[in-house]
Amino acid sequence: MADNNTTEITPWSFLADSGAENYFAKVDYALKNGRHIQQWKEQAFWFRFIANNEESIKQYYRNYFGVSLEHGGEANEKYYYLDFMPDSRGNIPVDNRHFLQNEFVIVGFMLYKAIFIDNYIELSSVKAFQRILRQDYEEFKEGLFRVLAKAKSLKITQMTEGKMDSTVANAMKAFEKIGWIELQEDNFEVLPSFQRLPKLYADYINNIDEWIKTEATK
Amino acid sequence: MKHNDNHTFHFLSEIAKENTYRLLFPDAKAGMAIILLYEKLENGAFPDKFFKESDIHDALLKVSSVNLNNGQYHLKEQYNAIISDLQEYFLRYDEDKQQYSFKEYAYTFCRHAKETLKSFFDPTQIEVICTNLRDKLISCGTQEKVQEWFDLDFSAFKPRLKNQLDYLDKQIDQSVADLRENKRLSLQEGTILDTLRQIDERFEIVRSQNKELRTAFRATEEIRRLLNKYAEQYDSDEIHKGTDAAISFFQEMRHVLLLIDKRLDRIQPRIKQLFSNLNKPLFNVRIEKFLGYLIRNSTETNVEGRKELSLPDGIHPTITSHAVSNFTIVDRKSDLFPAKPKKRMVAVETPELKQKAFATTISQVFQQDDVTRWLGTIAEQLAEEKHVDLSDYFFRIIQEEKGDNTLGLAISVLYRAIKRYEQQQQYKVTINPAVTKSRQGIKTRLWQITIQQK
Repeated sequence: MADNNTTEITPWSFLADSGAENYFAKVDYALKNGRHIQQWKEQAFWFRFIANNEESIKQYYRNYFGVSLEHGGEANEKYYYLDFMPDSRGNIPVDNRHFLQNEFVIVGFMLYKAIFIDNYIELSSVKAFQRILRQDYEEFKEGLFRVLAKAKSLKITQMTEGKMDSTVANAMKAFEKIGWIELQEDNFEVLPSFQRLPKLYADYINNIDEWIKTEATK
Repeated sequence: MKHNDNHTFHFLSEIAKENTYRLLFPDAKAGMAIILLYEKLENGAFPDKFFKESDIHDALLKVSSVNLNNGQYHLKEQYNAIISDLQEYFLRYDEDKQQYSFKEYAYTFCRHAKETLKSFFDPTQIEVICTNLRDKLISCGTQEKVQEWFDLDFSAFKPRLKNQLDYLDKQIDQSVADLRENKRLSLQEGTILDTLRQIDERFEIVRSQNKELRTAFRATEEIRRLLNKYAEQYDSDEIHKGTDAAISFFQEMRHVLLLIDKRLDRIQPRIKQLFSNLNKPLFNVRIEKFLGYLIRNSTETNVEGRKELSLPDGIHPTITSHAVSNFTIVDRKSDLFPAKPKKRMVAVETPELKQKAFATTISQVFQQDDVTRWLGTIAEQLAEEKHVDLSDYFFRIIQEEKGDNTLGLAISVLYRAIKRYEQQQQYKVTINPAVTKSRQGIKTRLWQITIQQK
């Protein structure tokens, strides 16, 4: 039973919000484009609009599109996104789903490792990141060249280096598109929603020892 | 102040001469002894700034025993050689007193090294210097005084300010390096939290120092204004040059301050992120393992002729978005209706224009007559001789005809003749590129063209 003092939350009640006129179309496009929305520059207005109407917007996407409005992070680091749930039978046609290239997943984890695990806290240049990948990770080097530059031979050449660099550059562009980083030419800024990457793979990551065991038995 | 430029000084070739370099930069032992003496001088151990040869020996002994560790290893001969070398730039021997003192180079040498290593930070000092600079500049009454201010006061101030900025930058470098270094060491010990806290605090300090420096910098604004005033007042190239250089120096320094701020802006949020990441070292280790697993087990597959990377079996791909439809915008073009009026061309008739147009038409008509006349001549010759060289006619027409378009006439005649006789079966028109015909005084040349009656 709805309390008389509170308005009932429906999948459309957010439309009554005074910000809906200004922000809903933009927010809708951004979310469906896979963008993560956080308190960052002009996105902060969108963020607030979602935060104020979270439950209603959530219902809207769940009821009509079969996708889920989710959030990650806490306080200042909080971000919203649409979870497209790969196994669900949502109302979004398969053809319209866009997959993040697998190479980019690997580049993303390398970026995560560099900044959050290895404390390259000042890293903010794509060129510098490319250089780190080419030079600093001896233990991953061969594998990285194989997966990112599709290099068959173990000998690293200028061409494979160029290929790897361009894969990295493209990955950074893809991350910008979904709001994980802000990219301005060579400079980038990692945004709170970048934490979505390990979250996406959390179930594998938490059971990695099992995976590695099966790898060893192959 | 004019410098004599007639004699150019070549630093590199000068220092390459004989032992000059070695004498200016002595080896570690001699250099360390000099520094030891410098420290003693600074501490007041030699009140009159003079010291004995035995003091130098002691200094040399002390610095070598540090390295050699075998106590009394002491060669008088060797020491004398060192002292004699040092007398070139470092030491002055007073024969009356039989004592040594430092030459100016020795002081500069030691002071410079000390300041470089010491990295001090003292914005108050900068503030005092800036205020002094300004006051001195205000009191400059003549062009010479202003020039002197550039040459002495300002040039001495520049490196000191730069040092301060370098110091701030170095602090950040050091903190960032510490952080990376410490991460490796302290993961097991669990002290990274303390390190992070320390570094965060250090950045706060750098930020406030940066701010202080900027405040200290305030007097430079007034200096800039004064300089502009003097530059207007004294119309001298030297003053203008100095003013420009000083102003761009201040701008550059301001820019560096801004960059340091920006750098802090970028790093500090990341430090905060590291804090929140700290409580999950286990997760991070797993992430690294997972990453390794991905890299090792991802495979290349051919998808419709393209090489694509597949993640290991069982790991699902990431859906990031679904394509949002693009609107096709059917736009009514706003500039089509009403049609914009076009400017109408109004032809103005004047007797001159009329006459000109008439003359052109007339000359064209007359040219037709001339063409017919020449064609007649050609036909006659052909009837008589069964053979005509049209190329010859071409030059004849140009030479014989009068008027300003004889070339046009000649071309018309040849063209019409070729056309006429080509169509008739009893004639054969031959163009022979092998023979080029020309006439003196006429620039045009052409291949031989003949008409033959069969």
